[in-house]
Amino acid sequence: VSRRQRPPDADGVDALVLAARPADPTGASAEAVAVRVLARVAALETGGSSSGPSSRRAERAREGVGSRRFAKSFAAVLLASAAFAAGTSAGRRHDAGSPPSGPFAEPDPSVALAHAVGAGMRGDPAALATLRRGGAAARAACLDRVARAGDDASGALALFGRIGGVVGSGEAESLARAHARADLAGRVDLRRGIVAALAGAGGDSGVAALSRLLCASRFAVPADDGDDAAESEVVAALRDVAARGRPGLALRALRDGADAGSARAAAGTVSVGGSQEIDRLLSRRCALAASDEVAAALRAASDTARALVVRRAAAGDPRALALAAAARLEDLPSALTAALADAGAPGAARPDPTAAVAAIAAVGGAPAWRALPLLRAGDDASAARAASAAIRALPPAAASAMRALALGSVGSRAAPYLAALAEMGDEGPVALADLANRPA
Amino acid sequence: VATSDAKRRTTPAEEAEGATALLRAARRGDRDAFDALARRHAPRLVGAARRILRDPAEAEEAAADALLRAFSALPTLADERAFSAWIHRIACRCAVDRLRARRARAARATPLPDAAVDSRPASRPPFARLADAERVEEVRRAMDRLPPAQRLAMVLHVWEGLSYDDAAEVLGTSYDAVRVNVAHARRALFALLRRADGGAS
Repeated sequence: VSRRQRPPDADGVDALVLAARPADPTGASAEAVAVRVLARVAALETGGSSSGPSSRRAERAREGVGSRRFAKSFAAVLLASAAFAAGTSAGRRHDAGSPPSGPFAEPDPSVALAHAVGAGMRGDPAALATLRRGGAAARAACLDRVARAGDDASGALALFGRIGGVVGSGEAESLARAHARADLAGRVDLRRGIVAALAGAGGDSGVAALSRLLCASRFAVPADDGDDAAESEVVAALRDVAARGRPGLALRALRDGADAGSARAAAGTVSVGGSQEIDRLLSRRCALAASDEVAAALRAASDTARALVVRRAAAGDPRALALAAAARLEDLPSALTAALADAGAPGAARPDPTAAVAAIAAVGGAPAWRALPLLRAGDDASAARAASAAIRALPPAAASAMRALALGSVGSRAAPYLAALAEMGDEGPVALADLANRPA
Repeated sequence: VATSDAKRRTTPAEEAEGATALLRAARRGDRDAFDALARRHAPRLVGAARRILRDPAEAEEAAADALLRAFSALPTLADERAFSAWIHRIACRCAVDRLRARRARAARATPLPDAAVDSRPASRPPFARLADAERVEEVRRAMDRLPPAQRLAMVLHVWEGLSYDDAAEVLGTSYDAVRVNVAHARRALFALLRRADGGAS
């Protein structure tokens, strides 16, 4: 209670300020203000002239407010629009059920709306402007055509995107349902359009629907080619959402998808969130962390993210080790060699020797050829055994690389490479003989 | 005449009862009831938004936003008796949101130069002409010269009568931030008004 009390007003400043408080409107002025405000509320509800942040807020509010009244007012706007009711319809192809004309015709609002959508799909700018004023009702009319999945469904979807505005959860859900319909599995363009419309929709509902699509169980199990492509498109759309300035929202959706078992979503989190998301995947012991998709994303990630994985692999994290091996990180062999050579490190903080050697072999190339001989000559017996086996499986190119390393090493440092050459099938002894014949 | 007689006969208790009935109907989704409530509260909401925004037209837009927001959030209203304060806070929040969105206008608001702030403690109340209209204008001008955060805190706390906690909630900041801003605003106003008085009073 004391926290809510004002501090003492010793200087009378508060009293002065209070005396200068502009008064609320009263009397006739109050009535006029109330009328203007209520008119403005009605205008906002009918998608009137408001613009900017306030209209977005109003649009959100509108999702749950007075839909019947809104539809009626919108129809009134539509029917009052001379651009469509008479002018633009003349001499053009009419949709089925276009409004009757003539002074005694009683126009049906829903028919007028359908007519406006048809005109909008044909590219009529006046129709598009009126539909934009209509907002949610106009979008609902487009969705109705999408749900019917006729030949004009893709066009209606494109019009839905052009109308814009904050898309409500119901609309997003309707689009997601259309995407999941089995009878639309072959309509690649339509499904692609749905994903694009959801990603481009104002508000959070579109992205939330994409997240639900990602979490759909069919993405977590081996899918057919069509669903595979759809999953890629959803992830790409979410990455696009992140690139267009809403990374937090996209990241949440991708995380949900990753948690539901989508490897592409897991890779998407790495692309969007970088090292923080790598850390999250590894900390949550996510089975997808070592997937090819995440490995590819890691290869394209920042140096910091790659260094993080190498550091965790060298510290004995088996998932980081598997991920680093799958991503073939060049810094991994030297880091693992140093970690295995560190006799003072506690067991839990050292990588498993056999797994480490396998990871180095998986990285391959010059970093592995440099590291394996050192491990073979090291103190760790199991690592040495595994390294010997790995050296025997190395390609011929490795022999010439080791010969070069031996030549470039001073004194006893050449010994591991010479021993490794001796270990290698036929190529090693040939290279050794070549070395022995050199005068130096 | 009959209407004015009826108005005269309405006691505050009956009025409160009528407002509660309207509110209950509005919560059930009766839009006409909400319109009646909105008509009753609109002037106060516009007044609050005007004091925050200093722009009558935008204040009406903020009040309309607030009414729409309030109607959609009516089911979440926990205490019907607190409706008036609740919708007032929503209007304040809408106005503050609009004020923040208007970065250009915020940039035009002249921050108080450091030199103008006199940090010496006041020995006695320096203002004698409280009711003077000229003085009122002086105080309003001084309010306008405050840095935006201080002015907002002062408007919400003193003019709108919000507690520090409520003002902090409206501004999306902490209790301490509001308290400090109000304290700084008082000190700055004191210095500004004393200077306007020529330091004599």
